[in-house]
Amino acid sequence: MTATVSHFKVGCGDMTLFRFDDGRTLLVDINIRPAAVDPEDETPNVIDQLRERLDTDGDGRVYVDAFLLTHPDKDHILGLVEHFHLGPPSDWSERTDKILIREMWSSPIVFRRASRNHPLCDDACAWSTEARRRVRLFEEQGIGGHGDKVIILGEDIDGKTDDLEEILVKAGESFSVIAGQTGAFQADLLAPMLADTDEEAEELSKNNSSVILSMAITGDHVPSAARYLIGGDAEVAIWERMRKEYADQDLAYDILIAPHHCSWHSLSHDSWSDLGEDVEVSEDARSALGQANAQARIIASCKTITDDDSDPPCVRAEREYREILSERGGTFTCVADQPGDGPYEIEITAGGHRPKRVRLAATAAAVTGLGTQPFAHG
Amino acid sequence: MSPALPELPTPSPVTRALRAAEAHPAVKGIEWVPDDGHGQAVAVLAMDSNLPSRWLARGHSDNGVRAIEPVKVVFGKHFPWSAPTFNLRDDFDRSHPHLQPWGPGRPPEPCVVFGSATELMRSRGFTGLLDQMADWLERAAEVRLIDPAHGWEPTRRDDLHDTAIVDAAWARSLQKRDEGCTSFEATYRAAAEADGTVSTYFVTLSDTSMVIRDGIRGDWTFSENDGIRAGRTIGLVAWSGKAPNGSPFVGAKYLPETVTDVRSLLMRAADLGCGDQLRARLDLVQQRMQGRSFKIPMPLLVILLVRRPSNLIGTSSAVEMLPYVIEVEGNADLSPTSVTPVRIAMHRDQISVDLLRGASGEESGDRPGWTLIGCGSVGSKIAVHMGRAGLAPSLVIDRKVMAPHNMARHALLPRSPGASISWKKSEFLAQALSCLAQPPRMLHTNVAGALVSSEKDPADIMPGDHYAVVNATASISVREALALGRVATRRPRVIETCLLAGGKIGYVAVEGPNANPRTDDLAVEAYRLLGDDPSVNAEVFGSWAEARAIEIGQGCSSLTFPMPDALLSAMTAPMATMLTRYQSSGLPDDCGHLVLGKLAADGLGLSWERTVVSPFVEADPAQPGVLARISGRVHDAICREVASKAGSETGGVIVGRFSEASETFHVVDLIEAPPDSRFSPEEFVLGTQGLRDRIVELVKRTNGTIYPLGTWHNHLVSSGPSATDLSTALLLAPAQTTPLLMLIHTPDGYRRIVSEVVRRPGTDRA
Repeated sequence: MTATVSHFKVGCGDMTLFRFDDGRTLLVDINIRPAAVDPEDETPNVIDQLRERLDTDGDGRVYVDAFLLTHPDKDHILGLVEHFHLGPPSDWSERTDKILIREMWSSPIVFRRASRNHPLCDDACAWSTEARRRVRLFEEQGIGGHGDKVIILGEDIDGKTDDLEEILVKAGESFSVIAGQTGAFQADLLAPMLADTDEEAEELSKNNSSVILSMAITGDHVPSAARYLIGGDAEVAIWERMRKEYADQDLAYDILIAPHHCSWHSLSHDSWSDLGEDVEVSEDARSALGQANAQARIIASCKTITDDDSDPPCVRAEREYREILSERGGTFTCVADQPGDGPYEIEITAGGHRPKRVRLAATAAAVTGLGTQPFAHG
Repeated sequence: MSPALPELPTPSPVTRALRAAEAHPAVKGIEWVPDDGHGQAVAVLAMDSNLPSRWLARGHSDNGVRAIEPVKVVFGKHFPWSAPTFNLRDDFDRSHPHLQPWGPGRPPEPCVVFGSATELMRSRGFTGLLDQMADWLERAAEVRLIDPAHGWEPTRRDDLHDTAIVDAAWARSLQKRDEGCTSFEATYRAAAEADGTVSTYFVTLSDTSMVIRDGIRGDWTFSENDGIRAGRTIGLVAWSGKAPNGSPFVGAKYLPETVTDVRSLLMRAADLGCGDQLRARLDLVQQRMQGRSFKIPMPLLVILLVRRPSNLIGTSSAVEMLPYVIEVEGNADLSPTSVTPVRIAMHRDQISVDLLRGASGEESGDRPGWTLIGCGSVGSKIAVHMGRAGLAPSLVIDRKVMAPHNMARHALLPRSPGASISWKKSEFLAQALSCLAQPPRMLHTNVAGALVSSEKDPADIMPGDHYAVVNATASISVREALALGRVATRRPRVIETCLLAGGKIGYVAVEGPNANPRTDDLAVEAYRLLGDDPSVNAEVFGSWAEARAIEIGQGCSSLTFPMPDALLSAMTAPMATMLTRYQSSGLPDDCGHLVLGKLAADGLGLSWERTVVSPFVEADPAQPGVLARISGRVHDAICREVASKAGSETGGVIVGRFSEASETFHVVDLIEAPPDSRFSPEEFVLGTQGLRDRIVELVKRTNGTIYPLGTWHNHLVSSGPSATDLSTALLLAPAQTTPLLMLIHTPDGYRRIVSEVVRRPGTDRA
């Protein structure tokens, strides 16, 4: 079976669903804005689109095998409480019919209190509470069943994660188990890394410390048919550190989700809004994000990129990514610019990745121009 | 690259199509000529194959599909009445399964749609065809044109004229563990041209194996009449055995049809794992010919069976059949190097249960059989609908013969206006079902009489392993005979189907498990439901029926109603659907069903409603004599009424029908005690206020079909009838022609009194 990755149109935010070769699903971040479910509003209804792509278990529960939260910012977790079941799976109710998360993939940030720099939104607090519930259950009873499973991605400071060996993945380690079963992928955890000094910890925290995952995905039974690099909102200092820690092949990708919604801050210490064309790119960060394979694809999950001083998304970052790709014959895609309301979808086949073809005859574009703009009649 | 469209002349269907091509995201360039010299416009589209990244990086897929493929579109003279043809470059890999089976002389032509390209263009426009073409290229790159989920695409051999008619299920069953080849008797018809060549062969393979005789005398016969040749011939079926690793040989690679002569046929057979056995068998044929020469060629049928990695599209089998016809002439050479021509034939199935089920969307495999009683209009329609789905009855029973008026509404046709009359109805239907490869047993008998007579074991009439007996006789006698206690324990469950109200009501009653509720219970329950429905009760119970009985023969007293065949079909088709569902998913396991269909006032719409009927309660079953069966719903109502008047007796009037034949009361309703009734711990006195009016109204509603049967009351202790009860029963009995039923509800069940006036003719003594 072909693996499919759906990049939902959530504005400046991330929401990506991986359906692997074996049918298992991994959801990475969500940004389900209230307008998405308002029938009067034109914002794509991403929750319906998501549910259509998920399976239902024997108890009638729509589920994801795993949900990875790269970091607990609002534009990566909005809508969790509203649309996902939290608490013991036995409390799931048919009436509210929320999505069951079989396994949470969480950064260790759940063990920290919200800091002044990083106040947690309600959904992030709920994620944290749920992850802690699952970790506590693990400490008491060992690995739980579907709806109680959790994996912690990255060690925490002060040895807070020391007793969690069985459910802990450390930076630099690989894993390929999802919801208790071997999956059709191999994931290398690149970050978050344990900071060596307090100073470094402070620096990393200021740079939107995110889970950074490099995932080799099986397509049509061919292992590593395409490699995804996911970096949440990680910013420049983190990418510089990645460059120092890892070799080129560790950072290589076929598809990169441009970090922080195509922000310039992932590539440079300078402010695009303040300095404009005087900004300088960080060569290390660029190199960390520049290990594109032939015909690679960089996907910006953001609104349409405009040629001005706004950031993110930033036109200067787009230029930098296009330049990276120009050497390798790849494609830069802004999700918002793709036709239709549905997600932008990538198929992973034996021969690599490609965009899923949209059948034109069944779209409004092939039928009429009406509705695209006002048409005056005298 | 944005496609550059050449200057176009005045708008035409072709220019319109090219505009659609220009707007299509998969089309990266267009070159075209308005007229190729044959009056056809030709465009070459540069189409994006949407190659995945790694293949895109090197410019082509593993099997050579390029990132951008030139696709030649030929708009024929009849465009847009017929779809344009798409051609690929000459060196495109021709081993793809969805290519037309043209030889190397013509450019490769993809089959872009499963069905008619013209119809697709009619519905989705030229853009729809381009979508298909883009899909085709995308999948061709991945060799995914054969989608295992969709099924194996049979080898393309559509444009051929020869046909091999073979029961596919039987032929596939020949495939054994080891490679083999067997000869079978076959018959053929052939259309000969003036020059003696044959344009078309139809060869029908039988399942009778044959030993080829010396000189093949008698194995091949020939006659010709008006250019049509016919006779007997030989059919060879060859199949593969094991692969070198011991597992069954699977022809997993799609090979386009390229057989042209005996040599290439043997090579193909070798590719498909059955070359050795076919070769041995052809050697034998050659040997048996003993050098005979034929003036007219013998069409030798050869069928290769090949096991595929997935089931063939639309079938439940992975074995593909590849038929060929060798025209064996005098001294023909059947050796491995022979260039004796081989004709490619298409396979057409014989009618078989599997074929009919497949075409009807029914699963193959064992289904429990069923018995049909009544081979008239309703029964024949149901049997033929189900027969066409491969689900025909295994036993058909009727006591009558076909009459001319039956032909106004029967599933079968007479052979001529005078024929098929006086045929036994069961035989007439059985013969038709035999033509659908499902010959049933038939019984020309009065089934009611046979069941009532205690000489026959019902199980000898209706096999116990059938899932149901469908009573389509519209006969109350048959219904009641089936309900007899002695019969009910020795037969499958009964489903009754009939039409009421001149075809305006469809009726399906499904008996419960252990014959409870029975179909006679359900009939009375249905009368109550229909009586309560003011939109139909006049039609169902009105006296119009007698008025509209039509004359069907001088002195004939049979009663039949004018009703068009179309209405009968509209009613019986859903009945067949219901029977199919009951057959596949089982009968209800704790209740009976009543399914009533109502024709809308416009005579077109039809709505069916299902009522679940819980088992009936039999009152005091140990007591001999007349039986009383109380609907579960009425029993619940009595229990509720008793509970609501704790410490006191209560009661009311019971309503239903009495069957003379089975001597059974069916209680399906109650009339509550009138307001002037008296309730006390000692006795219940049924009052009169308003009761007469309610009874008159009830009887009128159903034209006397259901009526008061007597009374019910309760005793606070488990006691039998009191002296008061007996005297009341005696008082009431003379006032009704049916026996009177008095039900007594007690803490440990019902008691009953049945009181009936017996008069000797000419006396008035009770």
